[in-house]
Amino acid sequence: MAISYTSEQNNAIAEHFFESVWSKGDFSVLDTLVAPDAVDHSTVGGKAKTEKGSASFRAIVTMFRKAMPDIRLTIEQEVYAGDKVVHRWSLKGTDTGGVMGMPPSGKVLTFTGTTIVRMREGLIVERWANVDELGLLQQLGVVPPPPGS
Amino acid sequence: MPVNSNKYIALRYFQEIMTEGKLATVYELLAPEFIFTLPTHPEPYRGPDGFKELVTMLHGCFPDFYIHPKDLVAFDDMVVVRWRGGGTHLGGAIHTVAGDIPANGRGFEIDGMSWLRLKEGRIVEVTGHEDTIGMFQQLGIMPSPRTTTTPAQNLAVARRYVDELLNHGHFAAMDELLAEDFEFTIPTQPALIGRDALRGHIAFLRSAFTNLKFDIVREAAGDNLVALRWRLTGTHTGEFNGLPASGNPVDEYGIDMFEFWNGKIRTIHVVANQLGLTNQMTAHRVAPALTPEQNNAIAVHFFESVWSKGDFSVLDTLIAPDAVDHSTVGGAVKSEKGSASFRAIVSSFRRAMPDVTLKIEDEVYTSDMVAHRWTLTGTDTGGFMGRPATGKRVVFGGTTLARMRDGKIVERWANVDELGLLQQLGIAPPPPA
Repeated sequence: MAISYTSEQNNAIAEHFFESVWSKGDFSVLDTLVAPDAVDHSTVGGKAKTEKGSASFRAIVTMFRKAMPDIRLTIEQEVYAGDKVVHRWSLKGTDTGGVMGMPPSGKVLTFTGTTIVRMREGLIVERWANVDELGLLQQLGVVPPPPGS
Repeated sequence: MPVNSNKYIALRYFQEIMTEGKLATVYELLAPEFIFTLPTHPEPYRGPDGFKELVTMLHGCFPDFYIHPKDLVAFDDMVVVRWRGGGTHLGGAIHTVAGDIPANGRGFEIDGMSWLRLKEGRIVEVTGHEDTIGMFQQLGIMPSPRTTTTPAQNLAVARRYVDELLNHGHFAAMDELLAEDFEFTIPTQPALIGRDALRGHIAFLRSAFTNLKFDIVREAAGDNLVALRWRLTGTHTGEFNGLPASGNPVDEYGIDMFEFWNGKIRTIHVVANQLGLTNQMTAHRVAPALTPEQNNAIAVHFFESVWSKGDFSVLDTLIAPDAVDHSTVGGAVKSEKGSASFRAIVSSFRRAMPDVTLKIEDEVYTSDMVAHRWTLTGTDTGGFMGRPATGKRVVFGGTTLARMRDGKIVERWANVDELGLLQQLGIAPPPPA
């Protein structure tokens, strides 16, 4: 028998999920809060679209937490209605391990993104994300800084 | 004996004895020494037995005989009552000082007053005056016979008054619905006498309130009376009772009491919640908060107008002057005020891709927040960031949050896959395979 969750409950679960993974490195929620048939639509890291399960997300977080062990997620804005939860967030950490295979820069990096998840019976079943990867690469000096900065 | 108890006894006298003809009440309410004096009757009626004869005679002549008390004054052991009474002459001949008058189907309704004196809960004396000349005229001399109408017929006329005159201002039915000596009273203004006065009043009411509508919420009809409780709705767009147009919606209730004569409305007494109406007309109206759906519709219209149509007019009409742009598109956190930063971004993209179109892929909205996940598709025929045009067709996505206030965007956050765009254009290296 399916339990009906309110949009507030959905948001609380999504918050708990992202904060556990990003800020605490607690990867157990990847198994308990992501449905096995979940679809990841995000293109972060240039990956192909619509992968199943939590593997792609696990890889992304693992890479960033290796590069920036002190990384912290801050949820800046939340919009949730029905089965959808929208979070605008920022990630901040010190690049002591090297981002995306690059040598460590030692810089404190900050970048933002917006993630939408669809929830079903307390589990994440779909995820979309737009991340300011360009801003991250500019801070790392990989691509030229924006004009006027 | 408390004064109000005497009033109650007086009301029972008129209702049960005079109107209903209940003889048991004659013996209950009238003292043995009761005396009834009417100047037109040379001999008073004495005692319950004597008065019973008068009541029986009246109801014999006028099967629908009634007396409706209008005003009551109680003082010491006395109650004075002003009334209207009448009936239709369908029964036996009526014995009057002018001789016997046989039944002819005519009806009458006249004014009268009665002075009652009570003692220990019983009526000992009634001295009355009534419009005897009026009664005689109506019963025999007046050219137009009284048309007897049923309460149901009266109710139908009252409904037509509300529908045709009040709600539609169709004055053609005025003469058909209202008696010539029509009278309209409402506590807030002097009585209106005659059809023309009412016509002016209704026209005034209809000019003060747009979409004026009276809905009947309750009905009652009995004898020659009809009562309607109504609900008034409309928009206060013209001066009313000295209050200038407020544009406010009004929604109030009141009761109309109609008195019929010959099938036409002779009087209307209105009592309504004038205080509530006044409060509504003078209330400072707060703009109703837009629903999340309305906010989303405005945001959809805004983004589609700017991106797909290049309609920049909405930058002025749908972005508040003090709006804050938190987006980092183009590199830096700006938190700029107003619409300039967004105008610059859209201008540069539309120059590079004149065929750019926005597609909203998903929308989530609640309260004052709207979130859109979107894709932009276009052909690089104008060149990005001062570079030569590549001719490539590019597709990239983003998510935008907007906070709305009073139908305008007041804050905006966006995350855009700019890296993906630059990779497609060959400006940034492609992602690792």
